[in-house]
Amino acid sequence: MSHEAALHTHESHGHDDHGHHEHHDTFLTKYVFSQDHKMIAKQFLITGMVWAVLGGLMSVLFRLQLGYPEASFPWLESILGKWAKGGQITPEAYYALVTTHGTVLVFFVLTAGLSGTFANFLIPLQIGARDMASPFMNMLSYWFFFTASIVMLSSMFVETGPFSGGWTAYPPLSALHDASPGSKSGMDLWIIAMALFVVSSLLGGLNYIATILNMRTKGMSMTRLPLTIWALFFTAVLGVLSFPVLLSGLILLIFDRNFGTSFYLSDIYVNGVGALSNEGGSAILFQHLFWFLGHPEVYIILLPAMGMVSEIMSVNSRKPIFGYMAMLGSLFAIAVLAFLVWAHHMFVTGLNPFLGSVFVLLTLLIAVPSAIKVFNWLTTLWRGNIRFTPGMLFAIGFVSLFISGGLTGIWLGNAALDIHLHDSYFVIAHFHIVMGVASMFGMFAGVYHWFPKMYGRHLNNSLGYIHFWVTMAGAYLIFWPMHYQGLAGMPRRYFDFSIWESFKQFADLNRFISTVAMIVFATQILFLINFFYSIFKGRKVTDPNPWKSNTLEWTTPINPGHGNWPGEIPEVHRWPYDYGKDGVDFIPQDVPVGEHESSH
Amino acid sequence: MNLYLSIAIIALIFVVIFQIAKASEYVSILKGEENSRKQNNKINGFLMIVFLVLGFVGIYVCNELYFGKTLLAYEAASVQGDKWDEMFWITLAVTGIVFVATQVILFWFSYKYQEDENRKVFFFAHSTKLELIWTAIPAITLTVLVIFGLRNWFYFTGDAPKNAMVVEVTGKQFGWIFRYPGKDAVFGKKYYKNIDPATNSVGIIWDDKYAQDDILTEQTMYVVKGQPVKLIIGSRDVIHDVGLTAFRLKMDAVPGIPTTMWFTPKFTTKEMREKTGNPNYTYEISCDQMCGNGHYSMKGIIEVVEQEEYDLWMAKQKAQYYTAFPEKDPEEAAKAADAGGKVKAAEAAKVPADSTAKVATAKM
Amino acid sequence: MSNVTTASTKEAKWWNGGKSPFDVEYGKVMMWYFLMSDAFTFGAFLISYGTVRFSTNGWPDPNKVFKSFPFAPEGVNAPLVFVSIMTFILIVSSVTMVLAVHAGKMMDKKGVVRNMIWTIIGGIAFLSCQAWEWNHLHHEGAWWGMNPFINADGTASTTNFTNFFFTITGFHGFHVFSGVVINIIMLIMTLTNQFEKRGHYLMIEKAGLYWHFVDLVWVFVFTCFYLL
Ligand code: HEM
Ligand SMILES: [Cu+2]
Ligand SMILES: [Cu+2]
Repeated sequence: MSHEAALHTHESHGHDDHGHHEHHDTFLTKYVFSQDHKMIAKQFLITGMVWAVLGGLMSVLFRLQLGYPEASFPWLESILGKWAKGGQITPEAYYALVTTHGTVLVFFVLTAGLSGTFANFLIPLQIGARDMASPFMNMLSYWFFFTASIVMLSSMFVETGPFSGGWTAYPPLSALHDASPGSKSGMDLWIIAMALFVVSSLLGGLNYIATILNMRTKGMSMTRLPLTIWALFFTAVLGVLSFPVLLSGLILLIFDRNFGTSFYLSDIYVNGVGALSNEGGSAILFQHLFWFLGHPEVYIILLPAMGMVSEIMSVNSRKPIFGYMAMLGSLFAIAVLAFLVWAHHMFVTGLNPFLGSVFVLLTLLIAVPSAIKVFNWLTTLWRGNIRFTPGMLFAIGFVSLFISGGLTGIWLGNAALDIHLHDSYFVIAHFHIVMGVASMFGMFAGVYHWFPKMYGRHLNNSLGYIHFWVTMAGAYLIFWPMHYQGLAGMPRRYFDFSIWESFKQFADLNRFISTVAMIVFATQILFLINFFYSIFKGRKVTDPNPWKSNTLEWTTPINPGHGNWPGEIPEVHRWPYDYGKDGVDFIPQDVPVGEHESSH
Repeated sequence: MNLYLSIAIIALIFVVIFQIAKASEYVSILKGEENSRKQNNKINGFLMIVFLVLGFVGIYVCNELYFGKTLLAYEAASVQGDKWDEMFWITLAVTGIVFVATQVILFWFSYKYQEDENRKVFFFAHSTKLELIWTAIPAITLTVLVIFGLRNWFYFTGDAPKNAMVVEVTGKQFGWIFRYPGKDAVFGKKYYKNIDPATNSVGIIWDDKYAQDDILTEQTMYVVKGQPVKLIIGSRDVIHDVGLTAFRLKMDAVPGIPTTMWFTPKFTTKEMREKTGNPNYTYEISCDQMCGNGHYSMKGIIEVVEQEEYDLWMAKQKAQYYTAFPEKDPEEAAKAADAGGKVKAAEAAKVPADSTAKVATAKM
Repeated sequence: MSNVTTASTKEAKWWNGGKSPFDVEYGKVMMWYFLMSDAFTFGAFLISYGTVRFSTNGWPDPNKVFKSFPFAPEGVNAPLVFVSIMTFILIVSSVTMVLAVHAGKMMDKKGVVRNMIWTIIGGIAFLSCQAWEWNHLHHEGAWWGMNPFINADGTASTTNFTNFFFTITGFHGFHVFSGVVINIIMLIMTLTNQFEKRGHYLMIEKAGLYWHFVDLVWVFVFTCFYLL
């Protein structure tokens, strides 16, 4: 019962300056092998940011190729060496970059970086707990993630390059060493990294679930939980139940790669090698296993963002979130349906048409809870009193992007339309808008909103505004035109379009997109500067509750120590959304219900 | 050198922006934080409307510039494509209305309900009626789209008409192989271990009686305008995808698991050249499934021609069997007979029959 | 009537925070969720096995493959006898685990020790049997990528019969092995009075949950590979 231990040893005061020494913590136990959920959250956040920069840089490099296929950049050769002979990116390098970009952003940034950061940071603070159920497992979770990161990173330095068959890693391409240089040892490292990542997410997920169920403070009933916590709860459940299926799939893949089995292989003749002996396997089987994780995964990425956006919107509209129960119900519906739609990624694999039609139905069903969420967010704004903090701006941006990307989901989910749009730039536009950028926005919103709690200082607002508006405009400028490319049939994962009579008409557009992408990337650097500068030099927080928020994290001291509350953990008497009730601006959750208070 | 200059300029821009931002923070403290916060709020509220308006202008401009470059600028080239286009417009109408309505509401509300000291917030936590309405309306709309979509889906994936011509398509790293069944209209059996890149690229079992008139071509496939074509799709190595952009269809090519797709081309390649005004227009098969480093160059061509031209083309094709065993070719044999080599040819013909016999029983 | 209302208010309070719902300690919550997760891992394996098996023409007959017995004369035909004994051993070890958990609840250290020892012996016995069976099959020429057995209908078989057999039983064996290690640690902790000092044997209960799960999974594995 380590939280009790924490209670005894860490009845610590809120100190108002960083760098103070706390008890007997050494540098190692405080910053490296920390078991404080807040420090672990920061570790996830900063590792995630490092990956985001690397992943973003990769996209800039391959966009350079798409935007300027003819040009030669001598400096590229000095960075990439043989991957950019004569200053031009080679197809091998292009595919390696695309694959690593996808894997890293989906798993390392938007899964570990997002859930890892905010589940760790917010769960104990918002439910009123001293720490996670098992701080030790929590620490392990981070270090498994870190090891996965190192392995993934090292795969980029092997002689034959990292895996280059797309983040979905479909066999036989990923199973046959001779099908592509990236499928040699780079792929083994990719699998190992992913397996470590699964362990990390399992350790984290179990912890989040147990903490939310078991460690809520007195009065914090399930329906008084902030929506953030509900979203993180469903996220954890999705992860715990879907990642193991990927793990199984990867284990079978390892055997196919290295031990002569034929789980995914049948009837194969490789150029230059000849006919392989494998018979009786099914290449499609892997896709089922992969997407059984893959689709829930997109919600693992999205749900935390949805939760934080709900929270931030309500706080900054000074109004309760509209339809708390409907929000919760739609979260639940999305979580359940997420497991039942995976084959919509496989409409053109020769899937049985009847089965396909069932998946069409279930897929489009998801649009209903999604629509409910959007309408509820809009209604939350209605007749509110909106403060445009940078966090709020990103929350509004999130809703805009979620609408745009969700609607194209309706196109892709309808198999008859997908049969043409599949694997085209239309899909790229869809999932970048709805998942990539939208969740990124959720993450930014969260960072801007909770930064004062994390570091006891404020981020620079003006930089926040610039960051938001440039990124918002940039996101649409980059991804909106891609719908048109998709409608021309332009396939994704193409190194060059110049030999194609049907696709080469977009050269100017590609150049435009690449240029905007670079500007947007530079703007993210501005954010990083703001972030790291403000940790040390930002304006100090003077009000423990700077946003005038109801949730419990703002009842802790400005710089909470390990254990979060110096004294007793506050008891909860109400839901977290009493904003503007009876004309009162806000009523924190730990305020008892007044005698004459109306019930909502 | 150029690089260092650009880096220096970018760094300089960063520093300037950063300094301005920092200065604005000090200014705000001087002016009174509350005041400057309110001012910022107004600016951002205004920008919401600006973004909305510019956004719609941007969409208009984008449409002007690029709609003409999509496939929808001219008529679909297949019967299936027509249905696809129809569905496209319906879905666009439905999602378009929702898109405009929700985005306008989002940004308008953001602007309208920006902080105002005099506004009393409306404590509005839920309304069962509203929630039911906006559960029901999307549900009904989506049902309509599903019904519509599934009708097309079953049509696209259903059986090809009886009069369809059949072509087998095999993907390999990085190109396409087409097989026509020849005069008997039946494909010979094949087994992947028989593959020989030079003479038998799909692994035909030669002693199958249907095999000997099979025709193999690479890269270009001929089909007839107005006649349904059924493709039997497979792959030799990794997963590929037969992407028929102009016909609005695609289907994966999976090793070991054959798939099928059918379509009816509406215009010959020549007619398409006129329609698009592009004298170089061809129907292209693009590989739409990541298959290795040459994925982006895995191109096939479909020539849609009139029946007569097709017949002419077909007449010129030689059965692959004769390429594999030139001695068996009646034409070649005639030549060989002149040289007095009849016996040799007959012997050569026996060998393959024996060597493939075992395999033929093992598979298929 | 009044009874009912008190019961329901009590239940409501369980979820009200400040205590664990259903009075389950967090470690057990984690264990339950972990087992669900692990069930998905095995589920994915077994469903993969099922789909591949049923999309392949023909499959070897388990009665003809698993018919040997240690120390029995060459050529003995005892279909499924050996594996039945293995299964029996594992089930008995689950029973002794139940007894250990029960003894723990009674704070009966001796009972815990005795039954844990039996459980560990059961686990080791199972693993030894599995090792023998693997070794035997290997000698017959079976391994990953190698399948000496023919289909029940006499046609040549693909290697996926052995591929799946070794992968899935191996994965299960790995679970049993981990279980044995966990049980040994529990035994040592019991012997060193750690649980006495804590005042409860909750750890034994969690180890028990895991052990029963592994046992349950074996029932499915057994059915899929030996019976069907
Ligand atoms: C209205 C709800 C949605 C529907 C109906 C929908 C439908 C689809 C469909 C059918 C595809 C497959 C397209 C193809 O490959 O041909 C797809 C792709 C994708 N969707 Fe969605 N989607 C929805 C929302 C979302 C959300 C909320 C996310 C993420 C948070 C998301 C992330 C993705 C991703 C990442 C892919 C691409 C996967 C890949 O092939 O690499 N989608 N979506
Ligand atoms: Cu999906
Ligand atoms: Cu390809």
